[in-house]
Amino acid sequence: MFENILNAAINGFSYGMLLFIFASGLSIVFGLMDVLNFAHGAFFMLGAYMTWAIFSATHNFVLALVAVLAFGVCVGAATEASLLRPLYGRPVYQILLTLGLFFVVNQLVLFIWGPLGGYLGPEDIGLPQVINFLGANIYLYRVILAVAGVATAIALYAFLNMTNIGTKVRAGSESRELAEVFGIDIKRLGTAIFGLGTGLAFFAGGLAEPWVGAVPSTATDFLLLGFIVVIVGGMGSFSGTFLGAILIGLVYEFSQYFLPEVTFVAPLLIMVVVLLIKPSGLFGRGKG
Amino acid sequence: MAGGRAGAALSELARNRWLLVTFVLMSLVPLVYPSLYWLTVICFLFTMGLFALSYDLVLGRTGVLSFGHAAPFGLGAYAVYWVIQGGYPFWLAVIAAMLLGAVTNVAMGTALRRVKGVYFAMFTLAFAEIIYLYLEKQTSLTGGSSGVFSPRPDFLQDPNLVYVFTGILAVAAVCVGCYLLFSSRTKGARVRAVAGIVILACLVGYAVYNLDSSVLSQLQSPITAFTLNAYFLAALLMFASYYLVSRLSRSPLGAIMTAIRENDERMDMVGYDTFRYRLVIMAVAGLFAGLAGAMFASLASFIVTPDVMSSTYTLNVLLYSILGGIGTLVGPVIGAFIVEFLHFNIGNIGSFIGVPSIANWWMLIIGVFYVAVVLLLPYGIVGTAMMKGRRTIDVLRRTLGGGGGHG
Amino acid sequence: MAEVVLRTEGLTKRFGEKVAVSNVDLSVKAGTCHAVVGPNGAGKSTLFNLICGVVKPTSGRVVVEGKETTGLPPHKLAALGVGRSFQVLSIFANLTVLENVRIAAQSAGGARANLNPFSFAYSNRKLIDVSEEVLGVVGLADKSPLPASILTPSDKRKLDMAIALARKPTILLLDEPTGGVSIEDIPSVIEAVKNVRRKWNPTLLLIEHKMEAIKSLADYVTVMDRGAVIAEGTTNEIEQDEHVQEVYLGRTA
Repeated sequence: MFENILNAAINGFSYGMLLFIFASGLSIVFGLMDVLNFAHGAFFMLGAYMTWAIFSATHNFVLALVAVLAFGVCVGAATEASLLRPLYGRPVYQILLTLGLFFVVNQLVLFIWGPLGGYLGPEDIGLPQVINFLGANIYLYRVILAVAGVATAIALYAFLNMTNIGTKVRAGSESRELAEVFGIDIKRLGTAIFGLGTGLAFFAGGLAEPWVGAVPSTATDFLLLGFIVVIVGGMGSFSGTFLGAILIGLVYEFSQYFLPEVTFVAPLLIMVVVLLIKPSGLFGRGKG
Repeated sequence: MAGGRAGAALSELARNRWLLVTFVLMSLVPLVYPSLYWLTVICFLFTMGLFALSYDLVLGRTGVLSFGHAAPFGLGAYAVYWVIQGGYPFWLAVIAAMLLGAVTNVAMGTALRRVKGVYFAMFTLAFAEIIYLYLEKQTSLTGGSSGVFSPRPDFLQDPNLVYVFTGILAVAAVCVGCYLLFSSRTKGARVRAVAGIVILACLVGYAVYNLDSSVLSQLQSPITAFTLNAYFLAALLMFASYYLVSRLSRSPLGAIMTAIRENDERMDMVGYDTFRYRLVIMAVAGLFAGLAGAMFASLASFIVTPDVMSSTYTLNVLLYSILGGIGTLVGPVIGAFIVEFLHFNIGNIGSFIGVPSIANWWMLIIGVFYVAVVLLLPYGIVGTAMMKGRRTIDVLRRTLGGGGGHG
Repeated sequence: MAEVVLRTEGLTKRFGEKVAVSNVDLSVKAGTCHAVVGPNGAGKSTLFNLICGVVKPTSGRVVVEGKETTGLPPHKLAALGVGRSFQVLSIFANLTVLENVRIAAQSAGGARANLNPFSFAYSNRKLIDVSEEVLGVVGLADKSPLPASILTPSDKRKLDMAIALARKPTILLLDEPTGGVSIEDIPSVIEAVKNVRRKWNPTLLLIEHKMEAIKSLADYVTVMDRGAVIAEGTTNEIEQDEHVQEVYLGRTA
């Protein structure tokens, strides 16, 4: 029992970290561009599959992660510049475009890698699957994932608050009008933000690979949870997304362990309640 | 005195002449090309066309982005199943389906008091998903993921009903003929009118000639009778609904919907409680979505699975709408016809172009469709045609302020 | 002695720390034209929003024709005879000029008429006549079949006003009716307002910057600065008030 609770807690926190990395990409894109990026989920999936492919070729997990992150940023920037830019000012159509992209990327992944997917266990990257902690067996990779997640959060925070570009991104995410007043080139910023967001999606996918595996259902599952996190935490709010992700991660994992039927219903209900009571998010001060 | 009522009825007939003509032509199909397979397919197309029409009321006409439109549709489908399982008559099942659809949509709409735009869209997505996830688990109610057999109403297996429908068809054809004849003023119009009547007569003649060797001779088979009756009923329901919706869009409520889409804040300021009117629209759209669901369950499918309430159907109806042209009413219906027709034939098309497995990649095709329509044809097929084919003022008068995409 | 048809008592609105409108007492007599002037940010538009129900006051009351209307939503104010035009143009750009006014006039029919699915809205003779009458008064009669989006800025201003007039309001709030209008066109907008007064004599509450408009239209003036009323009186009195000139001219953007 203790083992289950401990595992659920660790899993919940680290799943939350994954969700955080994923959702922060969604959040900054929505903050600046008012676009719900449905393609984010497909990019996550592509990141997972690519990580598996690169690792299979090079046996270097870190290299795979870095490559996938870089690739993601480029893909995101290219997508924004070529497909989303023409639809500037029409957010509904941009959303519909990302919806289309979701299916295209999703299906392309299936086409290239087939329906079975690939699983990269922690053993493959040189780590024991399970270790013993306080008399209970816990999954080591997930702990590492949690640490990696926090590290990424710190890095992201530093980037957003201390670098020049980061500050612009933050300003743009909070208020497009304000950013324009300060003379920031919104169109270029949009490309950068979308690139960063997509990179985060790919990166999250890569990190998730040893746990969730590269399987076809990851795209929709993660996308739905990602949206829930962003809304519950508050769009455009860094701390909101962080705390929201932890909350949803914990709810998700605890449901998996103790009450599997409500695994998806519980987070959905939380989102519904938040939308009705405090649309700007539990922790956020974003637009409601 | 021929004025007053008769005059009004005649002008109403005139305004809807294309609808009537299309109805007559579609209804002649079973008599002229009696393939049971194709009749079932077209029956399905009618159902999805109505579903698309109901969505246009929400998105196209009022500007409310709803990602949960599958909920009233799917619940409507299951409502028919539940009512018929309970031993109640078919007409009651249909009414129940419509009411359940309306209630569901209104329930979603109440969130409009708190959230708007994209947030409301996410709310509807969650709402519909929760219903779907919950009902999927209730195997006794919905049959779980394998679903239940469609509740086919018995009276539709009565071969005599075919003659009733043919009678209705004949009346409609006569109306069209009369209109064509009596309304033609110029010589050119009169010639066209006579040509139209001759063509109509030829089609009917061919159908009658075909009677012996055609499907009608097999009417004693319940499947044949059912297919024909389902087809006619579906056509009747769809065209009647289209007329009602079109009539609604010309009523005060229709003008209100269009204006709300244009500038809802000003509508509040001039005296409309826009929240309440939006709820009314959601109710009406829910009624028709529920009816479409009822049609789906009883006329156009073999099994009903919880999938009908899932986001798959919402995504489809969204595609029909943008492909056809949101706000045009007829656009989404045409969009539904095109997409679903393609879906049914994708296997054949694949074989024809040498890529037989293309049918497995239908989702990819849908994705490409989305991207292509959004980038290349944002006003949809009908919307773009309207913009190009006429003077701008005329376009506006006809589409009554709607007809285009608004971000 | 004309009666007071619109009155506010101690009307205050706070947005967090900032006080947008502070303790405003306003008294508008029937049939008069009362201008509210002041530098940008003085709280004039917020005052209008408070009166019309767009924003709820932090404290204070609004009384329209003896009835308490504090906190009522905007559509109820419209039903009570309060009409409003907007500083940032708020028209139905893709509808025709006629339809812009007709739909506003239609709201007077109430829910029962509006929910009747059997009547025809666009060919409703009564509503069309009313709309054309209103368009005639503001000077847009010849433009009624055109789409509103192609109008000039001054015509759009008139249309914005016409929408507010569709229900024949007894109290009309005009928020910067000459805003964005080119110098040559200002007289025609002013003339339109005068026409409205001649025809229906509504009580007018006007936010304006341009002296030309204020002098030719207003009977009384209330001067606001930083949310509070700093002076009040007839147009002549205010024109000669030195303190006002200093505040106003010194800080008009």
